[in-house]
Amino acid sequence: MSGLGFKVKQGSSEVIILTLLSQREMHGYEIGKQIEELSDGVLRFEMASLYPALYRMLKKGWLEAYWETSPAGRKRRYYRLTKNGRRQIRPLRKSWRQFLEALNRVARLHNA
Amino acid sequence: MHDFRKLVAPDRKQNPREREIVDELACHLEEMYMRFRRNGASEKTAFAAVSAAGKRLGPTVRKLRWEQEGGFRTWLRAVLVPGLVLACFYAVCNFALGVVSWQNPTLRREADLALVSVAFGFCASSFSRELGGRTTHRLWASAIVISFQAIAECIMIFLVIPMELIRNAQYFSEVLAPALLRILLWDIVTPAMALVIGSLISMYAFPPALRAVPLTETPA
Repeated sequence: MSGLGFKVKQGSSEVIILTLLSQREMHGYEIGKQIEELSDGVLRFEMASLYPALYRMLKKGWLEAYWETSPAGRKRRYYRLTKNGRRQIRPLRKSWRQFLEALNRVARLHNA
Repeated sequence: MHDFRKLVAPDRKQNPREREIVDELACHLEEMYMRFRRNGASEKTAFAAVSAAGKRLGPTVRKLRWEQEGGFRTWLRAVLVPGLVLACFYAVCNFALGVVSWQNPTLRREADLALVSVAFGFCASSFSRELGGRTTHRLWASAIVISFQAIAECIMIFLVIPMELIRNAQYFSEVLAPALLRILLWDIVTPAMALVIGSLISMYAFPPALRAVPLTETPA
């Protein structure tokens, strides 16, 4: 886990989004809501940071997007994982686990 | 029903490359609006809340377009534009510096040029960052600032050397070669290094903008 810093920050959004999309396909708003609900409101991704993260992952080939019209007639842009994206989940989770364990050891988060 | 696309891009002349982005962000705002309504907010309150979110999306649309664009467009925008704009100013500044300080000792003149180059490197790198440039783009933008001067001097060198070699080989080795080396060192290598130093200072002062996505935006 060398070279932390902004790579960690960037990775945080990536691991969250990849994990959510590994369960099912979602549109942008749904991803943001899921993050907020699953973290009990602690993590909130505003549009200005959620969509750049999604577009960056599209560019990396980790996600693919498609438009779909709901039965109510509303068009939504859905995101789903590609094979390459699915391969990224395990190493990202491992890095995060190591990082959080190290942080816990140093900052004694469990005593907080 | 409200036109949420107008909230995302109210005054912008619709750029075809941004259409899909605007559509997607408008969908997001529509979902927000419907959620507010489901939670019991009045139409006016819900729309006011969504409008407030929509008003801040102009820079996001631009960033997303940049994120979508291919390599050449990114280079054009984040490298060539800042690099060439500042190259024009640099050429003027270099000329002015030559006029103002031609009587100063050589070392003083070159120190002035190096300081100016650091400042230009800083500006080019910061400008590139504002246009979505990343580390490599910012370094290249700074390096391009010296391009006019480098091209002019390379043309001179590559024209002068063969001509002088044909005319007088001895004159070349005694007079011209040291002069050319001095030009390369003082007019190209030193300012180029100063530009890169300026760029590095800018990168330290203003880290990359697009990639840093915070883990928590607003703690609840």
